[in-house]
Amino acid sequence: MEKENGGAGLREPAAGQGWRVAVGLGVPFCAIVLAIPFLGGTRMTVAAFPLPVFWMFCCFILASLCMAIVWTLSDRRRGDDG
Amino acid sequence: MASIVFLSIIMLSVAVALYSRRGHAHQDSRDFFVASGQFGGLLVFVLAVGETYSIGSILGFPAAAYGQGTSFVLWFLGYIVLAYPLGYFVNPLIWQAGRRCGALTIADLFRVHFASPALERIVVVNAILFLLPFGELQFAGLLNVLEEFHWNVPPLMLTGGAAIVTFAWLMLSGIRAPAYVSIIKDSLVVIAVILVGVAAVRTMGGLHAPPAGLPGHDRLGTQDQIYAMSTILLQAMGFCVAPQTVAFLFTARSGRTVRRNQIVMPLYMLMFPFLYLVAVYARVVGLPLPSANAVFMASAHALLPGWAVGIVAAACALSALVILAGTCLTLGPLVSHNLLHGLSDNQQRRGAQFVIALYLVFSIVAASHLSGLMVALTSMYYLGVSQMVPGMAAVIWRRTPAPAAIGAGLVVGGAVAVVLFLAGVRPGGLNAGLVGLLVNLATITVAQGLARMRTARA
Repeated sequence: MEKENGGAGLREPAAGQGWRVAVGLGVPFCAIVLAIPFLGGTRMTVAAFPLPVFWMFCCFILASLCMAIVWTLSDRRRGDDG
Repeated sequence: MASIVFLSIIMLSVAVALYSRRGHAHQDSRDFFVASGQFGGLLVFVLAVGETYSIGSILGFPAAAYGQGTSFVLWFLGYIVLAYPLGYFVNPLIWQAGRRCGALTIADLFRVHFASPALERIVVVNAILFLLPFGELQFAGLLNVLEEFHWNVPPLMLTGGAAIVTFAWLMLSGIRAPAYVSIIKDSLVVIAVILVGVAAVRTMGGLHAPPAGLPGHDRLGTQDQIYAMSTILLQAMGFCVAPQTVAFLFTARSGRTVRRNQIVMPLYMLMFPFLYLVAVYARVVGLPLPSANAVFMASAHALLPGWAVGIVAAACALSALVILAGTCLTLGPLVSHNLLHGLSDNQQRRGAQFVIALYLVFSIVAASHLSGLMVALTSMYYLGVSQMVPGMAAVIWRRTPAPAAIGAGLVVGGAVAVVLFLAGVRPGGLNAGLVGLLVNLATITVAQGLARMRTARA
């Protein structure tokens, strides 16, 4: 049965897989790829950067943060089992 | 002063390569190519990052941002940053498959997993074809940087000297040399990019909205958006299965090391805003440029004192040489280990060294006659490499479709992608490589179905 346990102790690999991929890959994917249609049409700027470019820079930190969350809540305790 | 600093850093790199040999003077082929899978977090990190931030990124990113603006910046940064979370999940599985198959190269994975030497050869040819222009590109970038010194030395001597330094590194300690040199190179690249970027901002008087007419003020049309999205998807996948990426993964001590590294990698990308600002600076002040590729070095020259220009140039040069060394170490065993079966361990290493020497000479000659074919092959790199995605997926998730189906998909998908690219066709705005990948998957499905039918009849 698939259930989230808040990452407190992902004992079942199958149950852990869903939220790990959603947070670690799904969130960066939405921020990087799916955001393009929303940002591509704008002419706004932030400091010296066009908004889409500035957003992409923010994604560097976001991607790192998403992986860090998955690592801290789950993968830190895993071995080399992928 | 710039020349002295530059040459001192290059000599330091040779000393570091010599140091990396300590305790590994007698290498077998596994140690030469993948350091016997002994590298810890730092060395795997600098190798992987070194591969990402080539001289092409440092010189090419500000040049393309200067010339093409937002449409380029979005897909270029997008695919690299997406490749890291994707690699977070996939790279440990590739590492694991490598251990399972006892693999030295990406082609080994295909040979062992599918029990098919024919598929191994298809993968080798695909990898070699698209890796071929990398050496030439590094030399071309290097010449671009060295022009800033106005030395009275023929270009052929400069590229020859660079090839000798690279070959010397590799002879000293194989993969260990570029890994150790990458520590200097990666630190220097950060220093160089921040130096030029901060100087550019100070000269512009702070971060103001760029003036109208600067690339990036243009809105992206629907076709541009579809192209950017499909290119990010394709290249992020291609990035994870590129032959060099796979070779570097095999140097790691554990899958955990590989995974943990991915978390930090996007933060190293924080130098791209500085590179972007250099392009903005060049536009704002109307910097005279011999070519767009000169944006970064010309800005460094205009903004920094001599010693700092030396550091910047050395960072760029080491970037070129580290990538060159990595490409050599990927190509060498693909020929001596995967194409020429039956060689002894020592013969494989010697054979690879011969291939590497040959490749360096080829790249020097190609760089002095920068051919249209090579430029086209470079643009097609991810089109070709990403066609290995379905096969790699089968390897890491332990599925065994018929090797003929994977081979047919690779060839047909690659051919479709290349033909579409050369014809300049983007169906529905999609990247030609992604269309090729879809055709690849369809071919595999059909071929697999036919194989099943044949088995059922028999």
